[in-house]
Amino acid sequence: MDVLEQFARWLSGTDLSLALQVNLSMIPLIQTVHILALSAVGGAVLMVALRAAGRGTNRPLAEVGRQFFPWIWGGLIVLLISGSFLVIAEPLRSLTNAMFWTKVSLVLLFAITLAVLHRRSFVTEHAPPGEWARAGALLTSVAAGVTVLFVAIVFAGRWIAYTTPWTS
Amino acid sequence: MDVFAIAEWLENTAVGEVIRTSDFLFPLLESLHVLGVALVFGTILIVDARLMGWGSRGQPAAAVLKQSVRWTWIGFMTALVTGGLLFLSDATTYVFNAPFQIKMSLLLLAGINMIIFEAVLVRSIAQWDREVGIPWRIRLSGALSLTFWTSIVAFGRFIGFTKFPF
Repeated sequence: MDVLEQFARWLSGTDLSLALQVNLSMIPLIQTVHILALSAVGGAVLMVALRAAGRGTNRPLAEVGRQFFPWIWGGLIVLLISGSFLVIAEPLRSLTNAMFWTKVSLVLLFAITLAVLHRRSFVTEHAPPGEWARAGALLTSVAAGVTVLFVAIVFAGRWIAYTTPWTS
Repeated sequence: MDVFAIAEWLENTAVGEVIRTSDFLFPLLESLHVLGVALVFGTILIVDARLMGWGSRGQPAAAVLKQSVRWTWIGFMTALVTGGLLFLSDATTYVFNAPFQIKMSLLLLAGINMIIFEAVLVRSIAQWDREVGIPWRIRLSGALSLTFWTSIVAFGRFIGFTKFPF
């Protein structure tokens, strides 16, 4: 039995995990919070990504960033908390599941890419005009990156339910 | 022809059969459905938050609406098509599923609320956008929309947990 499986088995026996397992409505309720937060992040990321790629609005990127990044980081915190509760409720379904760890890796990449985008959104505000084209090309790739990562995360998340954990 | 007969017919179409028997089509459609829902709820949240005065106050409501609404529709069409196909795969079970029925009723209510907003309230948007406060009927419209869509997501999630008779 590997360390992760041992940890998952211990976690599934804790009071909190048992409390979540006993109430049949808890998992769909937490999943609902998870999907709502995911949507909030998705909508806000879309708005920032569109602007970073130079589409739609002509407002400064820094302004669009100031409008939406609080939603993005706030939503990610709600996702982290609701996701943790889902893991605690069903440790053997997630912690020993290759798709779960794929999703975790994608989420880390997503957060890093968003942090880059957040930083660049302020940098470009003060960039000299000669550097705009270069900054624009970089921003377009970062915007495409966060969008692709978001889609991949949604797919990986849904596929956890269809991937057999290595313990069973 | 009663509802059950229609459901039975839908379920036995070639498309319904293919989705039901495939290993990956159902999760694939579900993933696309979640993406569609995320687009709908994510963009509606931005608009509703603005209507209620919770966010995006630096931007006129008309502008917030304009940049979101196209994506709301793209998301809605995605969710509608994928949701329809998911329904097709097991129509006779879904028609009698309480969360499914509640979700469909809530979608209708959300639609009515949207029609009232688009047909009546949006006309005065240019006027109240210039004022300091947001009129109560606009705030109410946003609050109703957010309540309906939150419940739609919740009942949608409950369908998968109550699908099998017990």
